[in-house]
Amino acid sequence: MQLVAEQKQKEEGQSRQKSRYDAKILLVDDDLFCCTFIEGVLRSHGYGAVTVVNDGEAAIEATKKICPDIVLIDIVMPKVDGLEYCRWVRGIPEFERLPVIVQTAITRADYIKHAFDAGATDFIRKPVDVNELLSRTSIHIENQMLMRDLIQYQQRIHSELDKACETQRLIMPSEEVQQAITKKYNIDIAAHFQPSSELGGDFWGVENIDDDKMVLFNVDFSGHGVTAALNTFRLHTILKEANLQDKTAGEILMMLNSKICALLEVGAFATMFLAIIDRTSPVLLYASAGAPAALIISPDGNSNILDNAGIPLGVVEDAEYTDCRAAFHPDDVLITYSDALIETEDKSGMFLSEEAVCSCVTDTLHAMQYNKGENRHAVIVLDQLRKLLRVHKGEMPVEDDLTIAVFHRRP
Amino acid sequence: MDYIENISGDSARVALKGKFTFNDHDKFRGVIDMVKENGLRMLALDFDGVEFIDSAGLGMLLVAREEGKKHGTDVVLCNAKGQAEKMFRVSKFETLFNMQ
Repeated sequence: MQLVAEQKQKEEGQSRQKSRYDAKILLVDDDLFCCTFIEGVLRSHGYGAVTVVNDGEAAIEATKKICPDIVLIDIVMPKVDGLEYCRWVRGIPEFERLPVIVQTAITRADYIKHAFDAGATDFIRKPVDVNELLSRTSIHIENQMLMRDLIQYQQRIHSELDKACETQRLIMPSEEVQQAITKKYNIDIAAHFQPSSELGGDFWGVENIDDDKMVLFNVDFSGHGVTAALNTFRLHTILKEANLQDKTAGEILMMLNSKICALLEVGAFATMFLAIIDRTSPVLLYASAGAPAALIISPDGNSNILDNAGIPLGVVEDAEYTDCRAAFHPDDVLITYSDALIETEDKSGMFLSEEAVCSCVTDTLHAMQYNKGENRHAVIVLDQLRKLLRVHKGEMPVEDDLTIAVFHRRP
Repeated sequence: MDYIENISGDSARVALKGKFTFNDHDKFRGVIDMVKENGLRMLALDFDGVEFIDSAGLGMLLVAREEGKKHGTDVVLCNAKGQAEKMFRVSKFETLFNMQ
């Protein structure tokens, strides 16, 4: 094993060395003797790709043409001098990080500062000392290559996270699915999903059970970011494959819990609210695995904070979940949300209470009573809740994933 | 979050203080190591000074519980109040831990 590792290390070393000596070097000096000397030193030490030009204008053209990995440039030259070249190169986004080493016979601090201000990366003294030339050239090429690798790595991670984020949004119901639910079960839906980083540990959803019954749920995995997001995909897969028919809400949670338990590491869990709506019944059947309390608000001002006690999913394999019932009449609104809504601090460290959330919804529904033609209750309630959180938190950040789903039972 | 530990014989009491959140993973690792290394019969986590616990904090307690099961240590949660007490109640932690 060790031999293989050593061999690999050696090969990596060689490939890095090889690529370092492959670096494209642009050498700019109007002093032909100096050019020949530096080029000779570089070539004799293994640098094979050296391009030589003799003034600043030619340097600009060569830079555009060959995209060098490093530039060694004299300061004092006719037409465009070394400092002007530096200023030009820093104005081109593509060459923002290109190492430019200026050669100068004047090493006074103020003069060198002038060169750094113009955009030089480093300087070497004239007359050129071979060791100084080689060590500075080598270190800046190495830095440049590491920086390039790092930027490429960041870009790759960023683009992969973007794709993962898109995929995560796809596990939540699309507009079309929401509209189909509205049509079939007379339930109007509006939802907001905002992960705290690119990916989140929350998701919500709806599933058909039969012509009369549908399931809705809101899930929040502990933690956030990539690990929590992977768990949302796991649970989503389990849900999609599950047979939800002839099960109570508590039984569905028990089934999900027993399956997710085997997949989660110790300390990871999910809170979940799950409810079954029957279009022929004014009763909502639900169960909770420690999710934030769902709310049912009636247009007459009544609000019901639903019982939410339950062991989170993924903690103990044989956990049981109590089936509960709540009145859910036409024009009532059901709100489920992740804990970020009630656990985001305002500037004095206070949280929004469930009562404050209820009262915001009650006021919204009350105001809507005077607008009989309005049937976008879910969207309007959601907008008001987002506004409530925005006003509450002020400048404070929302540090956890936030999901709010609003379901309005149409009359 | 900060904590003060007090070991006497085969029991330990750890008084936690402040907010117990996602950012306390590394610190709480020290408490979990106490379970692993000291052969304790009981570890009491005192929440009297804890004003807030989030889901990551609950997760860390579940890790402590699991380590306790492995090493024969009874992890006890004491004196939770306010938001922490509510979180324990909502998550039915009384069915998972001894509470005092």
